[in-house]
Amino acid sequence: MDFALEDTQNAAPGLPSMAEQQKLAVAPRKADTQSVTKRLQSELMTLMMSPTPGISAFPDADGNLLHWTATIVGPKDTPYADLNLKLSFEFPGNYPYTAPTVQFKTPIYHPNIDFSGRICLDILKDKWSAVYNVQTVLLSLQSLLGEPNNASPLNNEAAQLHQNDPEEYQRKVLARHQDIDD
Amino acid sequence: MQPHFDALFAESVRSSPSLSPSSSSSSLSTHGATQAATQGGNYDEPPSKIDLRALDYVTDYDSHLMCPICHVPFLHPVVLECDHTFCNSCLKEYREGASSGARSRCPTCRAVLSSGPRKASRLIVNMCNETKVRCPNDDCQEVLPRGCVEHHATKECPHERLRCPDPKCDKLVKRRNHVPAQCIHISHIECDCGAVIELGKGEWLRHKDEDCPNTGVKCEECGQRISASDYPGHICNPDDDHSCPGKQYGCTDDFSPEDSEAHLKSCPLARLAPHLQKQSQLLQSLQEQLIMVKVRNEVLENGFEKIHDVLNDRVLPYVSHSDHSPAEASDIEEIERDHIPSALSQRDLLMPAHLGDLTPSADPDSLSISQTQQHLLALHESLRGNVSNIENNISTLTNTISDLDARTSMQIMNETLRIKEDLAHTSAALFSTRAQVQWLMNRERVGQQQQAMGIRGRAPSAQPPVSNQAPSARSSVSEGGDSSGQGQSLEGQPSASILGSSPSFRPQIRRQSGGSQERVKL
Repeated sequence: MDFALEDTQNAAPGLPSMAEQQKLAVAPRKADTQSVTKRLQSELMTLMMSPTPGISAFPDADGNLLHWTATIVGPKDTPYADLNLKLSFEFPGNYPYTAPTVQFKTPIYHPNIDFSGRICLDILKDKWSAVYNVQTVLLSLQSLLGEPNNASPLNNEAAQLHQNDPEEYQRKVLARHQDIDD
Repeated sequence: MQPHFDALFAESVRSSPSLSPSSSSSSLSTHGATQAATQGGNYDEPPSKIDLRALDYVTDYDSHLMCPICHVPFLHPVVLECDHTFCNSCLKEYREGASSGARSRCPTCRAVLSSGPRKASRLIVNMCNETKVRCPNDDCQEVLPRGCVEHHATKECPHERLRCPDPKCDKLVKRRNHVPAQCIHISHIECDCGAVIELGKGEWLRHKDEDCPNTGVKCEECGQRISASDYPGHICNPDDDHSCPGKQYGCTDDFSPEDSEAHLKSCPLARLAPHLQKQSQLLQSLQEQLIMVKVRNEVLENGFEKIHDVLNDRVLPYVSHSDHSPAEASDIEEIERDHIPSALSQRDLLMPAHLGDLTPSADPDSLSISQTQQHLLALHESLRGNVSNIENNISTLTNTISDLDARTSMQIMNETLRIKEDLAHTSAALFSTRAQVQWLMNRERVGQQQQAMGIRGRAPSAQPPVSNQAPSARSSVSEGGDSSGQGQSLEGQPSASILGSSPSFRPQIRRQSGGSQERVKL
């Protein structure tokens, strides 16, 4: 802050300050994409340097840092145990203030996920907070696999089977699953 | 000591509010204004000329100092009621984008907030501003604390691009080349390497040719262009540098060093040169191998000749002899045993082992002979083995036989002893029976005599002669045996007499068993 004060003190009057003002006027829009990139780089670095077991994510090969592909390994003691589930992440330009769009790419049978992979999860919708990141979203999804929210299902049949017939539910989960390549 | 410390402390406190050397009055007034804004709950951070979030953070920092929203160390951190810290701008941005419900909640814990954020403690601000960053200006490699980078990048950095002082000129100029109130773009040119060259004096070309480290200089001898920094260590070798590599394979073209590249592209010999060089190397190595093979061959031939001699002189007569008279196999065996090993040992002396493997391929004559010889040797060895096997078998058989012999004799002995025992018992029983029979017969005889006496004289005193007669009868029965118990035996029961009299028969048994023993021994 003191430096900033000093700047106003010593800044030469005239053109340079005009330029400064121009720069500042332009800065917010430019800084936006830059800050998204910066934040995503930081998240990627964290995921790479201290990986969480059962979770991985990496930007797509197209060089665009706003598209990622993630993998969740189904948690133990759930019908999804040891299944590899791929997801796609689309980050908006004002990430992290707006939630990323997350979809399952692997076909999955789950009460809160529809057949095109869309996910009904509050933290990806209205309960999104800027402090969430790729890792926390993936962990939430991993726990959603084991504990579906049957109160607001996207797949009614799955919700009923999950409550009434766990064996049939397990059978359908395994029947629907198929590994996909990139 | 203590007062001195106090004085120092007081001084540092006095100087701390304004780190900058700017005038203290304006600094204090602005500071007060900022504080007022902070108390209002939403203070404005001073505008920054550089984006501090986009900086290159070169060292690791404590992850707790990282804003959970922008993931860089806190910039102008603020603390919420729930004790969660964010950058001021991040929180502001969050609230602008959030729905009305979320606006009054903490982004981390969703706690409902009744009051606005307050400024975080100076400690956190200082720790965040201590993180090391790289100067954002291109070409500047300076690494310094984040708190100082703005001052450096905008006030000191020689690589900072400044606007040209001439309002008509829209180019930028590095701070170090910046001349106040003068546009250097008219009279000067800025090289990539950073040097500013005055135009119109021929210095630009000279710089490019000689001074500029990026473009380098031209070697006067070989014509090669080398960077200026490499030039002192440059060893130029004109011959190597611009002669065609196909020269030694017949390229006679003469060309200047400048044309060497063009020539290299067009000359077929130059292109073939690496291939030809490989070929010549291969040829040379093949020649060396050929010489080696020749030497080896000579050694082998010498060896064969010697073997041939040995076979002709010593082994062949015997081999042919054995072929014609197979009946005298044992003799041949003897001969082989005596002579062939010596021949073999001679061969071993003449020929090294690794050459010995190659023997059969050279001389067909010696091949057949050595084959016969080897066959005989093998036969001999197998016969020897058989003989030793048979010997072994014989010795084991002998052992078994003697073992069996000993066992049989032991069995016979045992059997005989048992039979002798039985015999002794039987003879004892027989003897007692005879004694009883005699006793009964004596009584009968006495009775007959008494009847005869009664018939003759009818005398009542017939008893005494009976008692007199009895000992005489007994003595005749005993046949010179022990007569000590004759009184008891006369009156005793027959069974008692058997038991009682048995010791008296011992000598007889002993004699008999002794006889049988003698017979076994025989």
